[in-house]
Amino acid sequence: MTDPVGMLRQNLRRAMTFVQEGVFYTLRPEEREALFLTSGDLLKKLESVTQNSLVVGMLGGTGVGKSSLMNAMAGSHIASTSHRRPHTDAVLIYRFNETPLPANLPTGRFPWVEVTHDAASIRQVLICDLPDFDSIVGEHREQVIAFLEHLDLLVWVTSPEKYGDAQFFDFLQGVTKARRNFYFVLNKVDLLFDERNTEAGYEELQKISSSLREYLENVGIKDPDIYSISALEVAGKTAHTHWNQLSLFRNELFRQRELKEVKAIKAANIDKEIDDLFSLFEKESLNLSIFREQINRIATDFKEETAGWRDTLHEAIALWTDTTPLRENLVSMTTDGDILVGPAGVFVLFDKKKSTMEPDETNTASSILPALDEVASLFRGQIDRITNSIAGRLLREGIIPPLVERLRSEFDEHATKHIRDSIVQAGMAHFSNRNRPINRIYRGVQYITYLLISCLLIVSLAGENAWKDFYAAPGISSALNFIVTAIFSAFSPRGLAALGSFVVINIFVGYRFYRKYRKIIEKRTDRLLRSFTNDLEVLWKEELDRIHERLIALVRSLNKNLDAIRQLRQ
Amino acid sequence: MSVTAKDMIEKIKGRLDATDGASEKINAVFQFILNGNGGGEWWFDLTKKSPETGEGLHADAACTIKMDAGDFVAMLSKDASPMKLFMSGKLKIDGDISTAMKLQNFF
Ligand SMILES: Nc1nc2c(ncn2[C@@H]2O[C@H](COP(=O)(O)OP(=O)(O)O)[C@@H](O)[C@H]2O)c(=O)[nH]1
Ligand SMILES: [Mg+2]
Repeated sequence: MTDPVGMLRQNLRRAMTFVQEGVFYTLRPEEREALFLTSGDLLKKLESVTQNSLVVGMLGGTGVGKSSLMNAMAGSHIASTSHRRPHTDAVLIYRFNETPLPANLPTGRFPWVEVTHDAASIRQVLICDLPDFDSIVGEHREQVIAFLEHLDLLVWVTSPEKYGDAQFFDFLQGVTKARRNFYFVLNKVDLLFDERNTEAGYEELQKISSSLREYLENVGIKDPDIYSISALEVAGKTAHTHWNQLSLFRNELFRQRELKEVKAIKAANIDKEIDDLFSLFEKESLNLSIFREQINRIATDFKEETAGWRDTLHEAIALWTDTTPLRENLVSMTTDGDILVGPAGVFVLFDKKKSTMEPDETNTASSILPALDEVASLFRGQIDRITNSIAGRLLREGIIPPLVERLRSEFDEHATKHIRDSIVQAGMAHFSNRNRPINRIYRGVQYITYLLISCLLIVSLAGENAWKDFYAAPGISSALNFIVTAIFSAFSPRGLAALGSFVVINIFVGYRFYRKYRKIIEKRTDRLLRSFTNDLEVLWKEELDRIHERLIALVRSLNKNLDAIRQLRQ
Repeated sequence: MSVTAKDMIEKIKGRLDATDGASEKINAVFQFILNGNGGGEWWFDLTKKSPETGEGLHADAACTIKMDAGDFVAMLSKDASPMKLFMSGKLKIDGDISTAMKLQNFF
């Protein structure tokens, strides 16, 4: 056989660790605290089971003969008996002078007196005559009940007049002592017998003992040890009548026990206390297993619902892209006035959102981050929807609120902080690229175009003849002639017309360049945005998988808790 | 082999036979109904001058004692007190209980 005390100790320690680790979700904080403190107390109590003495308490209603029995057991008049009630209101402890009092017996206000004796043969057992519990009230009653804690064995004394009193059985039910440590004494049995009719006495005794057994069985005491006794008879006579089991009882109570047995008696009581304490786990265990089943089912269903959740995010992102100023910002941020030359540059100046900032990193971040935060809160909103739908389902299934909260905590802001980080990371990777897309070539094309237009102007100003002369005899003089002709004709009506159309053409071409440039930038921005939203959908898919994983992980951790609790209850 | 209820019945019979005037003192028919392993039904007739024993049910039993055969053996080997068995409902007596108690002297 394994050491019972060691087992109990281990269980208590484990329970305390569990409480500390927050294993018990469904227990209220005060229950958790009580569990922790009581476990500690019981651990201390376990330390004292090595004391090799037993404390026996005589409990019972007024006038059943507890004190008389005590005297009969002691073989002398130590406890005072009386017809008046209540008679004793202090605990009377009868002990061998060398046997120590029970450890941590409350001193001071608690009323107890003791009588010591020198009968070494019964040194192991201390007997306590307790006040009649049915006549004491209030604080005093509490104290007496508190005294029960120090008892190892309990002798319940009753009498043919009182054995049926229901309140005794109620009281008994609340006593946290191992059932096997109860003794029952049916005292005053002599009242059932009169000299001439023993038969009627036995019949009565058989009846009483069987209904007493029935009452006791009703409060969970199977096979009670009942002694029929007359404490009074003993005082007078030397030989007991046959039905008087006093000496049998006395021998049983006072018999010398080995330490192992004493320990077992005490451990059984503590075990009972632990059992009562751990009954909290029954509730917990039941709740957890229902919760686990639900989460399991939800996890399976969620797997199937992911497509739906992906659609909802897709729609939400589409709506967001339509309304976010991010695109506008990105376009103007990428627009670089230096790339456009001549009149096109003027159009950029007219752009209402012309970015005056240099596109360095901090500027990019500060103009993009708000938009990314929008996306993050969009994700958060979706997760909230998922959590709410799961929580709603749990509540509908009758899962208690603390467990639903436990589920929520899996998906709260804190638990989903990583999402914002991934979104920001993806956004930065896409949008903070400082390479401007259009380079010198575009500028070159512009310069050449304008140059050609200018040449055309000069040619048209100089006129057909000057051009022909130059073409016939190319040389410095003919070139000069050509230019001078052009300058002269610039101020002629024809020249003014040419200049006018030159300006119109310039404006038109500049606008075209500007538009083209805008288009390129916009296209590029859209491409970036598309790629970004694709990334977002991938992120979301990963997040959905993560949610599923968390549900599965929760089931796993619930399994662990249930195992732990089951171990404690063994 | 361990002691059976039947062995114990024989033992009681021997004691009754060995005691002078046992029948006169008790003057009644006892019926034992022993349940469980090794159980059975036996009776003692102590109304005649010399006690008689038999198996089965006796028509004129003044007192019937019902118990488990194992408890019966334990009781007769002094491992269990009859009063204790009585108080715990393991020994049931129908009929004249006080006469049943007289039989105890021969256990
Ligand atoms: N007939 C009878 N009276 C008893 C017996 N034991 C106690 N009494 C009487 O019952 C009364 C109450 O006894 P006491 O020991 O003071 O009961 P307590 O209140 O339970 O301590 C006294 O008058 C006793 O003499 C008994 O075995 N038989
Ligand atoms: Mg008293």
